[in-house]
Amino acid sequence: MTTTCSVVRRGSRRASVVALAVLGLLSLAACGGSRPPAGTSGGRATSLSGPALATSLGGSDGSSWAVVDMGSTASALNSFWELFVRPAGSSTWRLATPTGVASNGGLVMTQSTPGEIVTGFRPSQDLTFSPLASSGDAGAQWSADAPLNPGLADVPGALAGNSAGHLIALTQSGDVESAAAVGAAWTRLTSLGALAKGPAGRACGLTALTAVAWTPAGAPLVAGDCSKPGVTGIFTLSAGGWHAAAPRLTGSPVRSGADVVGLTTTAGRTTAVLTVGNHATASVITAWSLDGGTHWTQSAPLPSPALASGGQPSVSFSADGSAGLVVTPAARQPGASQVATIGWLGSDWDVLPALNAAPARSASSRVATLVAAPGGAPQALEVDGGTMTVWQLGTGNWTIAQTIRVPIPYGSSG
Amino acid sequence: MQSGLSDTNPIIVAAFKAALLRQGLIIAAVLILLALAWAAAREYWPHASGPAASSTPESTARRLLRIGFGILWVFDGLLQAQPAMAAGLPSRVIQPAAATSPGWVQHLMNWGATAWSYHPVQAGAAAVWIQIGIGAWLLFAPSGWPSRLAGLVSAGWGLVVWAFGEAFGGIFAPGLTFLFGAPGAVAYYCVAGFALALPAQRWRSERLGRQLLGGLGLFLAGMALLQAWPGGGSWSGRSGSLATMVSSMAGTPQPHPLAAIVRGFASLTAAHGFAVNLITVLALGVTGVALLAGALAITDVRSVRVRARVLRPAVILLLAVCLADWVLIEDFGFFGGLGTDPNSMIPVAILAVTGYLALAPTFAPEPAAAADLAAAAEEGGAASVADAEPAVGSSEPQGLPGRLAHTAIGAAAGAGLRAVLALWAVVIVIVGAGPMALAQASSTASPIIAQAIAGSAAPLNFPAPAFSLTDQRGSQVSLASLRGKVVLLTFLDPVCTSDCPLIAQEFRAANQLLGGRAHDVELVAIVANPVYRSVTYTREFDRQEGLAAVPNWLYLTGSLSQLQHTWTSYGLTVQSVQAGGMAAHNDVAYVIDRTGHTRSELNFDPGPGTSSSQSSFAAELANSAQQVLGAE
Repeated sequence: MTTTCSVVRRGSRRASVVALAVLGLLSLAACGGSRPPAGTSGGRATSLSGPALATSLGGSDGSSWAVVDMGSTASALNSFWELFVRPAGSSTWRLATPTGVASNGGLVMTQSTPGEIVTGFRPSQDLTFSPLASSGDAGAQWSADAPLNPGLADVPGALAGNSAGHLIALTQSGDVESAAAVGAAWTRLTSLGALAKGPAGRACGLTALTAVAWTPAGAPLVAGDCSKPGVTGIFTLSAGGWHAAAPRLTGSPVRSGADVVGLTTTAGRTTAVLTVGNHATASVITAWSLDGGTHWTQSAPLPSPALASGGQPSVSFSADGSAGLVVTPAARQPGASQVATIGWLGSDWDVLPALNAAPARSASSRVATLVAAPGGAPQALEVDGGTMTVWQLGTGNWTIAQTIRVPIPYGSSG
Repeated sequence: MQSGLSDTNPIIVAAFKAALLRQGLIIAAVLILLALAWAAAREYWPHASGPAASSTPESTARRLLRIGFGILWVFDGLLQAQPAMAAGLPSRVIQPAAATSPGWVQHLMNWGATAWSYHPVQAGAAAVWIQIGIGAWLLFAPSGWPSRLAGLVSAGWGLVVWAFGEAFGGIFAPGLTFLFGAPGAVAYYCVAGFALALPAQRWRSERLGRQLLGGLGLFLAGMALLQAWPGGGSWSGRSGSLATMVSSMAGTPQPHPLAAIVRGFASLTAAHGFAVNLITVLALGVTGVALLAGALAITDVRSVRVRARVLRPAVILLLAVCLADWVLIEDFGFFGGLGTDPNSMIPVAILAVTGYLALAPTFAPEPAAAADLAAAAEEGGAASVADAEPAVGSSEPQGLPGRLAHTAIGAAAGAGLRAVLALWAVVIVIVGAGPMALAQASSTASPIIAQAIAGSAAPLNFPAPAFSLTDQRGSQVSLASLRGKVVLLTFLDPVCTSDCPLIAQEFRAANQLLGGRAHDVELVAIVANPVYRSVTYTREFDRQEGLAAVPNWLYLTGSLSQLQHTWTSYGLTVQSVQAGGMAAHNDVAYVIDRTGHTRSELNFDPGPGTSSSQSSFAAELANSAQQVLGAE
């Protein structure tokens, strides 16, 4: 918003004083008080759906982790977010959801030091903060870590760790907090309001924060949605201030702003997944950086009619920086989920066969997320109530690799 | 709005029945006392004959109105005595009535429903006795100011019910129709009450009758217009609002023959909705216009002809419509569900006939022997009382109290039976309203709600198991260190999403209820989660629940082995639940006296967590603490 400080017409003394006072108030409001909507997703720049919490990530130790929502989609109290792990060297998945907290509000996860996974439970019902837990043995045992208050934001990238054990988190109030180690107390780094007011945020037209990560050098990375066409909102903290560290979009998507729906750094590689466009036309772009956001390589845009018509993207990351995408159509929209992957520094997306072409699927099932399988071929995780089915992509078609029945604790949350 | 209890909760039902019985015994005792006093007064003053027959006897129209609505109120009072009424009225009567009304109406009704749900037993009993009392009052007070006052009270109570119980008869909600009882059955009770409150002179001329019939006619004409309005679903068959409503009424529990009739009509309406609605519109319209036109056309000269040729057929047609609607659509008003009255058709019918009879006022002669205290007041009854004399041998006492007593005895002796019964009816209303009024003076809900959810407290007396744990500030706290204070102890999971925050708030509210005695009480919670048990989490929970600043609040934790030992000592079971469930544990609270003895155990499952249930649990906890404090 630009400030308009026009000259006040002089009239009577009293009128000019009143006018000055009013103008002063308006100027203050325009200049000093401009702030984006509260929270992380108060106003999405592109009006496209934000990322689903369902996601997967490949650990640097070779393990793979996935978060999916199971149980009843009709009742929030009977929908439970579950954590699954495929340990390094194993080809099968198992349930690893930490015990002790109801997971109705959502689960967010990240890896910190190699082999250590940190999860956070999103607030639900009367629980207003986020309990955290960590495990160093692939989810066999969990220990409680320092809670986060306000609770974690409703995005899969709300928690990020690095190999030094530092953590960074995005809260539902739009604050960015960091902890020196797993279990250490949290301290505030910045906020949506502060970032949006800064030069980098204004240049982007920052409207919401959507992910956090670390640069390979250990500096915080914060991503969000930009309203300015062709600008991506990724910021890093350096020299005491927040600076833009985002790819500059090229090509047809420059006509609209960009939303960051996924951001991660693994083994020195930073990967960002962006959605651009609007309800008429939308596409997905992946960008990679090896130097903490100074230079980026971006992929070709993947057109996504499902995204344009209100579908929700689920983004997953592998340890080598490749990304997976599942766009689930909006309710009452026809069509199957759009499923695609892209390799590290890949130029084009690899669109995978639709899962509904595979046999033995029920009408109530849905593809939650993609994950890279051992050997590189992707797996799709499909959920239906208390059952998770792992689909393996073979030569042109999907086959069932594993079925897991989860003892959903229906009715336990109220 | 709701207490969250089941309508048939056995504790609430038992308490409701006990309250009705208790108040019923009081009412019966009052009747016996009044009868004895009356008999004694007549013994003392045997020649008190009371006033002569009233020079302003009650008109036939007024008598019909008074007796008709008197019987209706008594019947409604008896319906209020259904066992499920105490716990069920807010959810099964008030909430559905308000469901489609605007927000401000819902807000108003929510206030009333909340007041009811805070004291369901007192409210339920009050509704029974107030309505029976009003009905009896109308029946036993035929004329004079007591009868007029009865009418006023009837209208006043009717307004309360209309606003807080019937959502103003749904007049602010879509789908208003005379067939379903618009503008609310009790609105007609209010009209009747106000009419009965009018001076006797108003019943002497035909004007009141014209006003009643004209008003009714205007109303029915308006209802006919509404019924004919397109887009309301009335003209549709199977999918129409009328067919849907009748079908649902047919499905409610009722005698089979009646259900068969209603089902038959439902089928007819579904198949021929247009025709049924057309007949309805015509019947309401013709009746309304006829009543209105007839009421306007009446003059002294032509009144007889207008009455005979226009109004009488119109009233007969209206009675037929009322009967058909009452049986086929309103399903007698009280079958199935939780009926509170026979719905609107009977009151409409009584008003219509009353209006017709009032056009040509006739007066039934009063039996001379049935002297009436009210008539005595109108006629300057003191004179007639003074004419009689007390029993031979008694002399008029000296002093004001004595003279007042003498006058009272004389009045009592001269009063007729109906006057005594009317006074008794007033007592019934007071006995009904009193306990509810007293309960409303308290801002907390009745502890019986908590007992209904979780059972009553078990009285105990044994040394409380010792513990030594760490509080939210990091300090060591043992049970022994709390000697000298009453301890309210419970077990809370700091990352619980539902029950434990509720229980924490109930403890907080109990602390406030204790007022100055809170200094003698310590509120203690012990962590009930094997994973999330650090001081960081207890502090976070305290911040979340606003307990950080409560000076006598302690949230204790320790190592897993310490906690497990304490859980076992206090009978707590804590289980981890897989796949995203909360830690499962039983909800319990203990009251430990100043010497460290457990004095009671309360099942503290907070139930539905409504405002009334939370308030009730807080009250029960505070009461338990005060009992222990008071016993020492």
